[in-house]
Amino acid sequence: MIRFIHAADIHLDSPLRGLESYPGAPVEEIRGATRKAFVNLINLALDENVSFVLIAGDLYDGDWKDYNTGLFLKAHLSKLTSHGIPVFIVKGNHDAESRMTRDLRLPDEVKVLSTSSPETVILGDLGIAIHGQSFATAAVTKDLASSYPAARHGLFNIGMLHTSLNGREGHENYAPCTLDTLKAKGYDYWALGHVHKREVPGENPWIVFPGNTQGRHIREAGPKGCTLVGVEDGAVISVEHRDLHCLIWALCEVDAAGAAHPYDVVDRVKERVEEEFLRNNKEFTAVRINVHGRCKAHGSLSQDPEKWINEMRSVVTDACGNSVWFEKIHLQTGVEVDLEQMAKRNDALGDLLRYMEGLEKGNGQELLGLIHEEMSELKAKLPLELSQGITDLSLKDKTSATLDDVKQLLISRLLSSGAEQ
Amino acid sequence: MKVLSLLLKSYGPFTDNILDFKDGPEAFHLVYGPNESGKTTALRALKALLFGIPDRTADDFIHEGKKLRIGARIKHSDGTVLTFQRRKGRSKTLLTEDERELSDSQLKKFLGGVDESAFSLMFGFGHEDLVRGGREIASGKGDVGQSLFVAGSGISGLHKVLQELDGEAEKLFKQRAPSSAINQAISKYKEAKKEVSEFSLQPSKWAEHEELLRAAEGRRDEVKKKLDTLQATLTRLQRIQQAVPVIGARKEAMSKKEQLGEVLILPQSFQTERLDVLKSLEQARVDAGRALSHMKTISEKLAAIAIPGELLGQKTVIDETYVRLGSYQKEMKDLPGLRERYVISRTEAENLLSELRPGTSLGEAATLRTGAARREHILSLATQHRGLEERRNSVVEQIESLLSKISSDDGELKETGESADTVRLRMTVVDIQKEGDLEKALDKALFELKKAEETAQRELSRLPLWQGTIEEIEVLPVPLPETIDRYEAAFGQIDKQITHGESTIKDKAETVEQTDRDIAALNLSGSVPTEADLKDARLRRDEGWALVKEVWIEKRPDASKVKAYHPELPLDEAYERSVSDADIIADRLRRESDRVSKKAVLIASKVHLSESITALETRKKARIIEKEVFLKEWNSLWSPIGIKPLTPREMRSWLQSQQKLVRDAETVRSLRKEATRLKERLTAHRSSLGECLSALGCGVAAEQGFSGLIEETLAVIRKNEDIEQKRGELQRKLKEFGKQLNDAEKNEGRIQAEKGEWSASWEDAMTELGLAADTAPSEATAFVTRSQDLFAKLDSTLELERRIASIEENMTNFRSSVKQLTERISPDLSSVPAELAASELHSRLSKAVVDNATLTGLNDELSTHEGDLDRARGTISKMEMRVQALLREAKCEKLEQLQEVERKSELAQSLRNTLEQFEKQLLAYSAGMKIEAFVTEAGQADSDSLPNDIKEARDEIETLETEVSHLEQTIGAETNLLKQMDGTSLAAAAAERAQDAAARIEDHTDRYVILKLASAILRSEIESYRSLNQGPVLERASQIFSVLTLESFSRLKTTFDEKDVQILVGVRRGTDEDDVRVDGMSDGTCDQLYLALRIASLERYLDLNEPMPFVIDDVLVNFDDDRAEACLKVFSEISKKTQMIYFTHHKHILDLATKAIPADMLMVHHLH
Repeated sequence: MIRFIHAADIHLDSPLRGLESYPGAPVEEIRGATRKAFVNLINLALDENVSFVLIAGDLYDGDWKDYNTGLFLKAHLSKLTSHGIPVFIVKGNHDAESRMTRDLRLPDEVKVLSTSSPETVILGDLGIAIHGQSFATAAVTKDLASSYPAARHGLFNIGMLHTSLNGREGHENYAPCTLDTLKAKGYDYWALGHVHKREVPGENPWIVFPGNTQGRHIREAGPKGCTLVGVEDGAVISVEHRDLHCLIWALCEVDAAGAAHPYDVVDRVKERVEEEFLRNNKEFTAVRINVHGRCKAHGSLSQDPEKWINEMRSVVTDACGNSVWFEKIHLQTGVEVDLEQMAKRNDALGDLLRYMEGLEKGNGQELLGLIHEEMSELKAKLPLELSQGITDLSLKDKTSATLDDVKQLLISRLLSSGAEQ
Repeated sequence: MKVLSLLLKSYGPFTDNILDFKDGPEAFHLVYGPNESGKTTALRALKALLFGIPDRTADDFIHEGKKLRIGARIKHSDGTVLTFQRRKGRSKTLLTEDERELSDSQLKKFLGGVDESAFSLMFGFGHEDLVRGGREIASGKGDVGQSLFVAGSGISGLHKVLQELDGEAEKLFKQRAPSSAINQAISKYKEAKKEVSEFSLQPSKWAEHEELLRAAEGRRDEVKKKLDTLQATLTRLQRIQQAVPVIGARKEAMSKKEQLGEVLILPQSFQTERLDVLKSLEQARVDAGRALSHMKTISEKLAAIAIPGELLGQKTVIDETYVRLGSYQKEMKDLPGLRERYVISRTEAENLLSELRPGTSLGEAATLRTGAARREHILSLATQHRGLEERRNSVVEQIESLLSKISSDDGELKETGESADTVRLRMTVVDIQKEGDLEKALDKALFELKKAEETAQRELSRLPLWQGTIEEIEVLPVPLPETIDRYEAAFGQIDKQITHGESTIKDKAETVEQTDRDIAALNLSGSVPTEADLKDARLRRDEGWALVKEVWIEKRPDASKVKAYHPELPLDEAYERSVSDADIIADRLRRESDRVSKKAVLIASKVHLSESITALETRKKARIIEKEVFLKEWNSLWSPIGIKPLTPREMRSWLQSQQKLVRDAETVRSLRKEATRLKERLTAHRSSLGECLSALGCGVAAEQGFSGLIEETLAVIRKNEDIEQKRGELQRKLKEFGKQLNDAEKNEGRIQAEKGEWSASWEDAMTELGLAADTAPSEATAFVTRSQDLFAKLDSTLELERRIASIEENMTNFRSSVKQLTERISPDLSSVPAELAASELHSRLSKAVVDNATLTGLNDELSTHEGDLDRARGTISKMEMRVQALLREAKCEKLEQLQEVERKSELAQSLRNTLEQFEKQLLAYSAGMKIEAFVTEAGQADSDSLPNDIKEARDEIETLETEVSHLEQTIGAETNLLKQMDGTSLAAAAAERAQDAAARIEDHTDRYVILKLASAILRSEIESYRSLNQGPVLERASQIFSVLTLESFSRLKTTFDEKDVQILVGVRRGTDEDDVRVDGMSDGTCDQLYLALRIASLERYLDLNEPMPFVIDDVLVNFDDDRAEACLKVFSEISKKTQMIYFTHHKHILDLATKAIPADMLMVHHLH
């Protein structure tokens, strides 16, 4: 039996995003996550003693310039080649953009397929033909697959392609093609890359996106890794996913409805995170927590969110050790009072709520107008790459979410301000 | 919505308390609770009723949580009524009156969108709210918008909320504050970004260093090769330099060897062996001489020794005789002593015999011998006699002692006397004690009875309306509470109808008056023509026309008629006027139709009102009569008890007091019964005890207490028990002594019998001994002892006789055996006495033995020396043979030549060794070359230039080595550099830090936007609320403020402060009309300002929304009486618009309200 590994989208040294450190945060655990995942890939290939390794594009982040990343890659690929395991690579959009790809001399047994036209490599002793074409530029919008050669008769044919197929949400539509185009080539296995979520669009023949090797932000949640393929008598007999990640991203929704005291909410958060942690076999997990629901505890939570977020971190750290990182804790709880009823009243608070409803129906510019001066000041201070998006309230859903936060903050503070004194 | 009644069914301290606010026109409800806790609980109950009982309530201390119930009847402004109750729980807590589940939506309609927080803020109003509100206005510096918003919403922390929002936002971001959180995160971000580019490695830099490394490695390898060659040359030169002296020395040695020529080389041991052989030969010759000389000396000694022949053969016999000589000499010395002792012993025996049996010879004495058994028998009998005597004496003594003890105890028993029978007495006491301490119980019962009687009597004297005893009250035929309730309801209904009627009448009467005033007002601006006026004018015109026709057309003038028509004017003029009058009225009716119709309506409504007033009055009268009938019935209900009743409510309270008294009476009765029972038991016990005691002969003192009596009885029982015990003890002792006496007497008899037996045996023994039968035992014993002595003496005399005879025989034997021995061996001694001869023989034998031993020793020595001689001779011949062999080896004929041969051989050997040594050294220097070749090569080298060549080579090597060392350093440094570049993740780590900071910035910015928006929205809303409400609310608040401040302020107005913010100021009454800003007002005035704004806002709310009850909690406690009164008046005015419920626990507020508010507008409720 022949076995090989199919990986893609390694994005070496791409930093994890959205992880704001806090006192006691396990900073060391997340350092160099993409590197650790890549080392796991190498070790898996050695342990499983595979015949070769395929990487379907995006070894690096395109705008990343540190040559050390390339040296690291080379050193570890050398481990494979020194054990007689050849590696085949097609460059993806990021690799095409990266200068490193041009300057780095990889070991001879690492074969980067041609950028100018589809290239075929025959592994005679294994009876395998590998076809593929690298990206020549960052944005390849033509259908590369259509010009791939037909399957070689009597061999096991593998097609390597960096593509968004017929378009995938959150991914640039590069090297687009249809499943029919791929199927028509008569290959036995299509090793695709570019889409970070694992997906198997076809099983006859096998068409596989293995997903990236390490999630880098909350939108890349869940276990990440590569695909281990077994071939016997010219046919695929097994396609297994193998985890490589060094940490798992997880989104936890917590319903705080009816919680009387912030500590009740803290307990619920703890339970939910523990559940998630156990589900991930106690592997290192970066969680985002969305706490929602109308509750009495909302007043205290919104009065001093930082305090309660610290409390949640501390309680969960006690329970799960240093194996959980809080990416974000969104306290989106609401006051217990019925805001709809309140909005119907002809009094000061009713007016306030109706005023905000009116704002919500506007386009956000009106809202920004209210705080125009402050926003300009802030925007002037922020680095350019960060100022985009952060202060942009013109998106409809963002306006609504922000206004809802404002509403909850105002109502709970106004209602509790009189009572607490 | 308003609350018709609030039922505190089971809540806090309340059980089935009702606050009945009643339906009908609104009034100001004042709920008076004598203490604060009841009042606050009732307030809480009202809130809990509408919005639920909190999970953690403090009001479950009497009724447990699940049993808490608050009920109510409430009425919506549209007239619908809801009766429900509330239980504690998490959901479905609304219930109907009969505890069925009620949907929340049923209640929702009545609340008009007001939830718990809004209700607390807007419709609950306490003293704290007032103070907080006042402060809030002061802290906002009278900002109009904020003040109105605060008063309109009841929110009192508005200013603080605004401050907090701004403060928190500022903490996150402030443009010129580097310490603000966002600014800090930004600088962290920038720093990390900078690090990314610093740590990032450029590909060209890597290539450059790799090239440097490669060049250095190439050059190093080249130089190393060169070094190796140079090193080899140097070594060769050094070897040659070292070999030169050795080669010279070797040459010299070789020429010496040649000179010496051919030489025999002896083995190295040759000389040593030669010396050894010569030395051994010399030694052997000396040994042989010495052995011969010794042998001659010994032979001479042997010839000098001679030994007699038979003496050694008779050695045994001679030794034996010599031993016997010792005992022979001793016996000769002992014999005379023995003969003397024999004579003494015989004499003593004869003396003893004559003492015992005079006249008897020694030979006959044997007949006197008695056997040992007989002797022992006599001695034993004597001992037995002594024992019997002792035992008899002891028994007699014992008998005497027992008799004396018996007589003493018998006397004591008689003195003690008999005990009495106390069984019944004991049983009686036990029975009594089972009932416990009856006396104490009686005391307690009497005490409680007295207390209960006093309490009851006190309560009785407090009960109004009725006089009588406690027993009588129990049987009073009072009406049932339900009957009272029925009358109360009936009276209430009638009263309400009457009150309602009265107020309707009053309203209507007012309206009539108003109508009159309105008519008068209309008339004031000129009379208003009516249809009736027109009718009248037309009638008069028509009348005039008829008269004109009659006078002028029919020509029937009638002066009186004309006069009557108009007294002054002629008919034509009068008629003209009447026509014109009618026209004018008709014209006016048309022209002033509005006023006309208004007046017409007014008049019509007045008529209608008057009619309905009359009808109402009639109905009212009927109700009053109805009430009187009821009153009569009510009174008659109580006549059987002889009471003129008060109102049903008061009578219910009276009935409660009476019921309590009935219960008190019951208590008194039961306590009295218990006391009587206890007294009876005590008397019974006393008499039964007395009976028992007198049966025993103990009197009982009548004044004796019961417990004393018990004590005494117990003492009697104890005394009789003591006597009983003592008698038992004495009787037991007497029985024991009697038994002992009997035993002693029996013993005495046994001793007497034994004595008789003994006397018979004694007589027999004495006869046998030949003594008198009555011989005393001591005498008989002495006789037996003396006979024993006699026979001992006789025996020793005989022994001595035998020994003397034996000695004499021994001596004779010795003498004869010595004679025989001398005659056989040494006849020269036969005439010498035996003892001397024996001694001489012995000494001769001793000498012969010594000589014999010397002879043997000498013979042994001789043979040893003969051996020595033989050995020395052997060695000599062997050594001589070896000398011959040595001579042969050295090829010599004489011993003296050997030394020279040896010397030459040694010299040749030494030269050979030196040459070998040199060759070995040269081999080492030649590094594997043949020696002769090496010597040839060395010979060719120029030995003078060698040192210089070596130095040059050394210098060159040093230079090259330095270069290699430098190259190695370069290689090391470059390798390190490349290693450091080899895939380090410093830049990646910096990028991660940048992301960390970016996440923080995003987080803070989101929060900042929210805080800023919240602040901006709230301010904007405050402003728009102000613009909408400022007009109506401020106008009304201005009036109320003036009232509340007892007109020390005439009104409120707005103005602008230094920052152009619109603010509120009060205008002080007076000629100057000063403006007073809120920071210039006293705390109390601020409170009143807030109150004025609050009330005005409330009124505005009520204009726009479903009314809700306004619940006030003792808000006036800090007001002086005048202001409180003014305020109460304002409250009572508002109560026309919505239900006002004022809770207080201050009596003076109650009094002030009664004074300030008209009775028909005030309802006072008492909380118990």
